[in-house]
Amino acid sequence: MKNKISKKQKSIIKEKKNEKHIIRTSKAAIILVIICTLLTSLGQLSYKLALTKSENSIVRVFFNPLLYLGLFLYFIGALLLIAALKQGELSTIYSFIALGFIWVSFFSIKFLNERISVLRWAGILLIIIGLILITYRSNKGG
Amino acid sequence: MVKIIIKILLPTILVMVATIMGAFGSLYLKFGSKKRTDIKNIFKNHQIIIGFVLYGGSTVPFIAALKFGELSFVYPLTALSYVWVTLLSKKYLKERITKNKVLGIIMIMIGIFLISLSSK
Repeated sequence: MKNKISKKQKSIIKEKKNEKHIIRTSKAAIILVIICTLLTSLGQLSYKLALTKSENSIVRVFFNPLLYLGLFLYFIGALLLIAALKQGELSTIYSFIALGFIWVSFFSIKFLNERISVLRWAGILLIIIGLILITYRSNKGG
Repeated sequence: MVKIIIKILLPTILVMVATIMGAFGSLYLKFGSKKRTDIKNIFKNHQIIIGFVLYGGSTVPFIAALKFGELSFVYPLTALSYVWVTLLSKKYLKERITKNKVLGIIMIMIGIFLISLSSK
């Protein structure tokens, strides 16, 4: 009996040792990458607005402050992505980039008055379920 | 025949190049993020610079692909980047690719496909 317990304990210790080698993805990293995708999508929205406001002229777009706001948002987003990667697995963090599709859908309702079709809602739902699956498992380490 | 090549084959190749560039870009950003760097000297970190160039540069073949192909065809192809990133993180970072991760990535790819179908 005693032997059994110690064997069990040994296996637990071994498991814990193995887990130390796995870089888990921290909650902070996930929050960082979510903010990153939000900023990047806002950046895309500013590009789009800059282009429409300058009537699609490439020359005039360079004088539009919205273009520079977009670039700034992109840069901050990239810094946040690096900070997130520091604390998490690439294969987990990178999947969150797909959130951009969802933010852009929401912005197009709010700022561009577009309607979202059932098909698009289904796509959004699938992406969210996929992300939950990926993070749930990676946080469990297995 | 020529039309098919210009409308389908060319954008496909361009998106492939873009997604592979983007995947390597994020891999280099991950490499670079391991080093201790603060914001002041982030541009002295070579791996971060390579990552930025590849990641940002991937938009060039992507925009070119959009010029030749239709948005609803080009967009779902960008979901390939998730496949590349998963393969690269297994190969170079020895990350565990679990069944749930594979399942999640497949769901994300189908989701992106549905979203691009709806933006026709």
